[in-house]
Amino acid sequence: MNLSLSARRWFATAATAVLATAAAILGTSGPALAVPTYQGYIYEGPSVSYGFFQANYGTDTFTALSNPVGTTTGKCLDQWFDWGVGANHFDARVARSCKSNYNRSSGSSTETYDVVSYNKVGACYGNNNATTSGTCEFIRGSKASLLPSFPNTCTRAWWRTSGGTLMYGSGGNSTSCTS
Amino acid sequence: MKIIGFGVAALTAGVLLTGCAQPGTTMEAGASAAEEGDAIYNRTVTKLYGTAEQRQAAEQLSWLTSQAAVAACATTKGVDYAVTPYVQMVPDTGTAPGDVLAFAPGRTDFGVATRIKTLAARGEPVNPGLAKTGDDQAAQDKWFKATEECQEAGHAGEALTTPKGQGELDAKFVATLTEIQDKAAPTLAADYKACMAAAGIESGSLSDTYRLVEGKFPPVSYETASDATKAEGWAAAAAFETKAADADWACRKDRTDQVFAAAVGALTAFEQDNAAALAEVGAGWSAKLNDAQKALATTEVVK
Repeated sequence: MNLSLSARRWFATAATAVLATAAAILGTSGPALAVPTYQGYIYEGPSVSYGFFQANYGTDTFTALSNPVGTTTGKCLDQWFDWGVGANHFDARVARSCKSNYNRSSGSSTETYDVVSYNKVGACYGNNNATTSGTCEFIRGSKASLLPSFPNTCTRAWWRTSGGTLMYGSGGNSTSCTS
Repeated sequence: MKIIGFGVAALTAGVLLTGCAQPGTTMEAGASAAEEGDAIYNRTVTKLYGTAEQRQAAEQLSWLTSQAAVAACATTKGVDYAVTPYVQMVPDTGTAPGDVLAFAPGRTDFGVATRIKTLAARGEPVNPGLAKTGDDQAAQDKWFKATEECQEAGHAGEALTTPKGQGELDAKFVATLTEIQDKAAPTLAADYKACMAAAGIESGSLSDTYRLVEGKFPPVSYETASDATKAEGWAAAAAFETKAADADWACRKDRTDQVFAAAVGALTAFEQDNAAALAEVGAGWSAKLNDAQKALATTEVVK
């Protein structure tokens, strides 16, 4: 696939998700619809860098993957995913790669908390540890309130350091930003 | 009602307990309802979220297990991925389940300045396995490709940061605390927001306050070791962190006694209804200390 540098697109197989969600809101009677998988690619940064996400709030599972291509040293690509849990806080999830042509993935991860919706889904490309100040494409929600300086107690993060080590930051307690 | 403060240099927490019952103590006759609520709360929190030492042991166990799994996988691909020593990256600021206002401890800061300054000073060393490839581009590519393929192997160790069953019980406990606060101090959230605004801080929750603090700090990459305190805006950000922590506590501390007093019944019920699960999770936290030591003794770590 050949994309222009300025083209920022997202592609998601979310049509089924939209129809099923709408039906649930209308309160259709009969057997409950299966919660659909919500997944897609978000193209951000130099062509053909992308973030990939896949999530299902029925099974409380998600995958976030960052795949930078042709990126500059000192720059990183993030794939952000934030669950909706109702009124309370829940740490955002993010995969980040700062190494061009090599991805970083959360793998398929299952929450121990009952998540109920999708709050934010987007990708950002920018300086290491300050990616949300660069360029972002959000297909749900926005980059507001996301914290790109890892690790911190408000974000569950998978990233690779500039020195090559694969890192994981649990974010502490998922329901607490401060611990 | 704990006040937690941090030294400038260390990531280990200095905890100052002021006027509150210690975990595991029995109540003396005549203890107030608030003190009783505090004692039950502390007992439950210790079992459910572990002590600071146990939490760090869990992080170390997770690190060593994940990194060793990646290293083992990389070896099968003819590549050396070094397991480096575990180092604490985030200060332990105590536990604030759900950041529920009436129950979260008061703090002198949130550990943000300490964390950024410490990590910036450390920098990000090159993984010793990668360093061995020198200037050989083909060897470097092989190293990155192999470790990319092996990252899946590291995921199983990530779950070791908490004991089995902790997440589900955490969710129930946060729901209990939220319900207690909603009944005992229904205007607390609105009052907190107004109080923080009067202090010049637009925040409707403890989570928001923390995010505002993080957002004040100038961007600092850890790729190369640096003195983060020299970055433009650092002093103002560090001052804001202290101001925000002070305002946060000032804007809710006068409600804590009434909430803890009102919480005795619900916290007692939670403790009784979930006794088996609490015991299991508590035992899980206790085991982290030995498990981390075993991992340390059996993992080849390259300094």
